[in-house]
Amino acid sequence: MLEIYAQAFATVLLPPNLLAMVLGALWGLLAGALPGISTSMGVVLILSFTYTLSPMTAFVLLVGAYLGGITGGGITSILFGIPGEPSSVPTVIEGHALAKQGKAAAAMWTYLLCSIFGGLFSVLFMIVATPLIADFALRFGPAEYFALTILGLSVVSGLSGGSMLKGFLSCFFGLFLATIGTDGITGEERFTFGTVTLLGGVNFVVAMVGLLAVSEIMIEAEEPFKEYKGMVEYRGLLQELPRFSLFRKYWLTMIRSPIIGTIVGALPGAGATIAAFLAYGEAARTAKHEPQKFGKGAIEGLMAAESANNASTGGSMTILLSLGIPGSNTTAMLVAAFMIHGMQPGPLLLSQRPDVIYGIFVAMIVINLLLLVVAGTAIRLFLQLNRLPYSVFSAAILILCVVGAFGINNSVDDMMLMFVFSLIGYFMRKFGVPVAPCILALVLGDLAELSLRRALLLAGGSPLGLVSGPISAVLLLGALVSIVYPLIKKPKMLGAS
Amino acid sequence: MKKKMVCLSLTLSLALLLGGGFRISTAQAADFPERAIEIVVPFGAGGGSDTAARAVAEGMKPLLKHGLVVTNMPGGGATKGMLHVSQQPADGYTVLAVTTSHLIDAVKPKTRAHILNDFDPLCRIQWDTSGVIVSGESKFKTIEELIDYGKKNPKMLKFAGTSPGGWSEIQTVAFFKTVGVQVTFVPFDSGAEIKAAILGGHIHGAVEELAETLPLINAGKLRALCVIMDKRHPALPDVPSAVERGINYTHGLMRAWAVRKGTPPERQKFLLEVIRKALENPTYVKYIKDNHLDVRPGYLGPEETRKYWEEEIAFFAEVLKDLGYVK
Repeated sequence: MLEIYAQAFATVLLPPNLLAMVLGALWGLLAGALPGISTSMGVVLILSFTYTLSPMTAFVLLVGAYLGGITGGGITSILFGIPGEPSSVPTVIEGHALAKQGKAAAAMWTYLLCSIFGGLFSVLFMIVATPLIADFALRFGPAEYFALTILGLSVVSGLSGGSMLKGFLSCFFGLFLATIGTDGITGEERFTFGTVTLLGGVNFVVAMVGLLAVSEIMIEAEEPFKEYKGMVEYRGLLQELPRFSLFRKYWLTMIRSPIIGTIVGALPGAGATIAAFLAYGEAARTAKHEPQKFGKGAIEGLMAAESANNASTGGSMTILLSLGIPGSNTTAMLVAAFMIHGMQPGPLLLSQRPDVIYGIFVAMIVINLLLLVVAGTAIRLFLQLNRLPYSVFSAAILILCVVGAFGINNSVDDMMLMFVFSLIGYFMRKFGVPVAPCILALVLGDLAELSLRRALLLAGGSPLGLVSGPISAVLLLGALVSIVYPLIKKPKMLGAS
Repeated sequence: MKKKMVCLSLTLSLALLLGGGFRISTAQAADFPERAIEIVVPFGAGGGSDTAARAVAEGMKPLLKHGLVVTNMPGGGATKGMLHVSQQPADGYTVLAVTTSHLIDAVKPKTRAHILNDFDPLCRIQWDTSGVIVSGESKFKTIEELIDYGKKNPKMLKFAGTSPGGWSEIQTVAFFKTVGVQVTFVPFDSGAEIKAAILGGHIHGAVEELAETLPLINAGKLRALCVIMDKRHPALPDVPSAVERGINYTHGLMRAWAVRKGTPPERQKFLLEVIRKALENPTYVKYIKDNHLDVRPGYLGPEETRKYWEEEIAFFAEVLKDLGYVK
């Protein structure tokens, strides 16, 4: 066993592979940081360059781009308040709030360290327990997916920032948005107003960029010509690094989030975004130290989300390498890469090409470590941008938002939709309605509805099918407790402003 | 003698006419691609349609002076890309990658562009093969056992698929209808989810394209009960074909290319020639071999493609009517 790993290390560390990893990671970071280029798009774009490479070089390049992409989402999220990736929306909510309080540098370093920690944790988890994770993931049927989404939605109370009524209002609006588009069970069109654009539903990224980033620019624009609040004086690296005591304080979150991330990442119907939201929600629900800070710059929320979304990579790769099932869009691209190099990802690959499988395991460790250096350098450069006056800065962000919304599907309609959402976001903020529950509901709503209806179809219409398995019963019970408990504890909160 | 002269002159003039005509058409064809040809794929990058289109396009590139661009235009099933091509000038510069979902759209009353009325087919390029797949641990060992159970327990057989009202549902329901079984179709979002649901024992099985499931079948995690065509699949020699078991059902997913209706015939002919040459390109041949797309001959000329489309659309109309999607 040890020899296999030693050999894998030797292969992965060959100069061309090392170079491929650095380039892949850099490209991934860029794709992840830009809102219009998702991680999977980033991987597709370099896929065509891998035809002529040796298989190992091709895989480390693509895996590098994958891990880099998931990590890169955090940079623009914290600094500009634009979710570079859907999976970094919780990072926008907490991290950008921290940046506005002048703690951009601290937030960035914490995000990076947590990302890398989550990534490494999941690779090690994967190496030790591949069959275990795969078996557990396969036990998730529609009923379990439904329970998972309900548990995710039940944290709304923790994200409402004071008024539960407004929190639930925002959540229900998000659930409504999730129903727009082609009905996944009957194929019927819902609330599409006869347009082609809305047939596929409201695009997450378009809604998020509008609700979070552009609406904030509108709010900030009401106070002209001010310096950017998040401006930082960049001190030495050592002074900016988060202290170890921070991680000790939130040790539970640091252990729990990567586990959630790895398992949810292995579910083909879920992935990095849902992993990040679930871990973030769990952190909000169980926050001991400063629960009132959630939504207003809680470092714990940032840590949970970033370690979970990076950990989803290990889960996703587990299910891909052990069963040949892509757990996410990006790993679906890796299937294509395997085919290009004449390999069929599946249960037999491990015995046919152990060199490739172990090589990828090892490469994931090395890439995570490389990312620490590569992203660390990128962060130092990006922080310089923070010195710009906000009037200049916000114009640049707006351009990035518009290009991003257009770029997802090359669609002008999406761009318009983004502006509609920015207006909605603006009024939500003005009336003190929190945006986070709405986005949470938009992310989870579709899966919640479809898995509920699938579960009912499978159980012949009987709702008992929803709680027949132990996993779904436990998850639903957890959701029930987390909805009811705050109501009993603080009945005054309902309706209070 | 006189007769001979007439014959000769007739032949000569005919030859001149034909030759002249030929020269005109080559002249036009030579002018034709004055810029890059755009291939519109109505699905996202990396999917089956996209990979197929790019594989053909790769072989076309060296044959076109100004090259070509593949544009992904996902959205609205596959309607957004189709609508876009139907709104471009009929000059042969925009080509649509057609799939079976466009034929199904043609049946629906709300269709925004009609594949038969608004497009001219260039050719069919691929004809994929599906199989009836269950879990490796399933109690159903043969297709007969499955059908038997289905007949005794109407609607209790639950099969997964992807697109409600689309190809996946049609092929599942139509296959089972042919054998006299009422099946419950449960739509999922992706092939990956379906495989996980079958492996986890959450659903009985699926009627799906075979290429993607082969690794899991070879590992014994999934089991193919029959392949939906008229002969056995070379990669699964032990699995019976549908026709062999007396099931008269051989429909499969197809991929074709088309241009907007009214595109000058000589331009259509030019494009067809280029595509035909690209289909013989070694890289493409290897690609369809690796993906088992060469199990059944995929290529059909323009007229045959149109005829095939008309038959498929008539068939889909019937199935969709049964399912209640069309009144």
